[in-house]
Amino acid sequence: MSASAAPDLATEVREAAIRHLWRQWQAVGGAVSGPGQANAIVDPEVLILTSLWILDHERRLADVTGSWVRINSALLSIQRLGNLSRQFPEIAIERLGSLAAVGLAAKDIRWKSLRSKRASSDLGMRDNKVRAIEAPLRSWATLMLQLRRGMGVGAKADVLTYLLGINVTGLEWASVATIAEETGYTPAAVRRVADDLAAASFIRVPGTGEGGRSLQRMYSADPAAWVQLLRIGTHQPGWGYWRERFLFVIALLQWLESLRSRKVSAYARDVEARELLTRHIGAIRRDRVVDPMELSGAELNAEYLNRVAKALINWMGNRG
Amino acid sequence: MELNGPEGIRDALRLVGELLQAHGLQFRIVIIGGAAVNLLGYVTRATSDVDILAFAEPDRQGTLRLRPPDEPLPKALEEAAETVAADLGLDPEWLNAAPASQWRTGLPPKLESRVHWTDYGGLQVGLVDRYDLIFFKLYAAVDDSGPESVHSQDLLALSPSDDELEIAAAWVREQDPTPVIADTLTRVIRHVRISRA
Repeated sequence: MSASAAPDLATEVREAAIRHLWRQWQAVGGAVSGPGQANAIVDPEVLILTSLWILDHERRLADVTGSWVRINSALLSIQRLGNLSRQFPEIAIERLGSLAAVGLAAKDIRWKSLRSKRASSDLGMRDNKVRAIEAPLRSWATLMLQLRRGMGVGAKADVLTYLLGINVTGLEWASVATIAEETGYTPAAVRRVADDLAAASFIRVPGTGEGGRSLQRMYSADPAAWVQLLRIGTHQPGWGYWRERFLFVIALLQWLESLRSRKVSAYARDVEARELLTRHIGAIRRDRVVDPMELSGAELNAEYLNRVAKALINWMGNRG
Repeated sequence: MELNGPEGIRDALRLVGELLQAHGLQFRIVIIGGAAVNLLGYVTRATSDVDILAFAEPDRQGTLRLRPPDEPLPKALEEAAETVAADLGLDPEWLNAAPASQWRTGLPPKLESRVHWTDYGGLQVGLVDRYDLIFFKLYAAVDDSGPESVHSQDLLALSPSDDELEIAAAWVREQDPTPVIADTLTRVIRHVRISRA
């Protein structure tokens, strides 16, 4: 990828990300027309944080985000929003402080902890027109919200969502550390709720011969056993890994933008692209956004980053 | 893998400079040793490292002033050198400040005024002059195995005159006045004179 191609790629990635955010908002009850619905499980906190970050390029996201929070605030984990926000750029954290005012106005006092002096005055919401409805809870995309509605907002619902989400092609086990990283809760909290869920037979722990040699405690869940109860259809599109994916998109866009204002040689561009890919490898390895065999043999450089970005755009459009 | 002659050394330094420039950083280093002898064109041989003698910073008049190199090297410089090492298959510590201890016993007089500067983007590299390299190479040969060392070969390549050898020898005696050094010094100088003839 040449330096001159960077602005075009940035535009392409940004537009694809915004298109996908709209699809997720539509899935969870945002009044959005046209773009089709999301497939994979929507992570509502990541959806909000990414929308807040990208507002400058799509002001209408502020209207939907604010409106959705007014109506569906009770389905959000404010603690998790705060925890995850630390992984996002400063501007998203500032805007989260402003969104807290919307949540508080909706009489959800939990937002108090996110109200910040750093908050910018408003999100640029154009009016108080209703642009969202109560989240429809009837698909895999809204599984996280559905389980929160039924089990209460917290680690229990989210751990179960994650374990159901990772079992796409066969039985998959996850450790406490992995679940904690993916869900944004502490390992201690994850262990506690996972043990409770296992004791209640909501999820499984390995029997003899099922990952029993591992020193770590592993957990799994059986989607087939839950689909009928939850009435969400048998096609399981997966967890989505939106935290990794959107953080990669953000880092990629920030890097592409930075190429405009810096003198970066072809070698330095390749090194920075390699570092970016290495840091965010999980975002592209999971769900085979890029073929794992190809990835393991690839020279990680700017040209390959360009290829990966296009593969991710394609994945978000077709399978995300 | 070693740095392969002047081109290999220049390539490695240029890549470090490009990485630093991409981050808007600039360092000025002064190098001695085999890398400097290569870059000044007196030899073409492989070398495993680039020895930093000094860092340089401009004073109020804009004149570059030398100071001892930071040890360890500044993080950004160290990371850039490590990245280049990994990409070119070099020793991870190929760019090092090992000669920093030279500042404790002193540098050849007025070395600072004879440094030759080259711009590698975010890395400006100063080469000590041939005159100063004679001092350092004579000292290194004496401190190493004497006439058989690679430093003696470098010294020969610098073609020092008798006057230059005499001044450099006096400086080496100041650096280390022990009898063992004095004996090796005599042998190295004799070797250079014989080989030169």
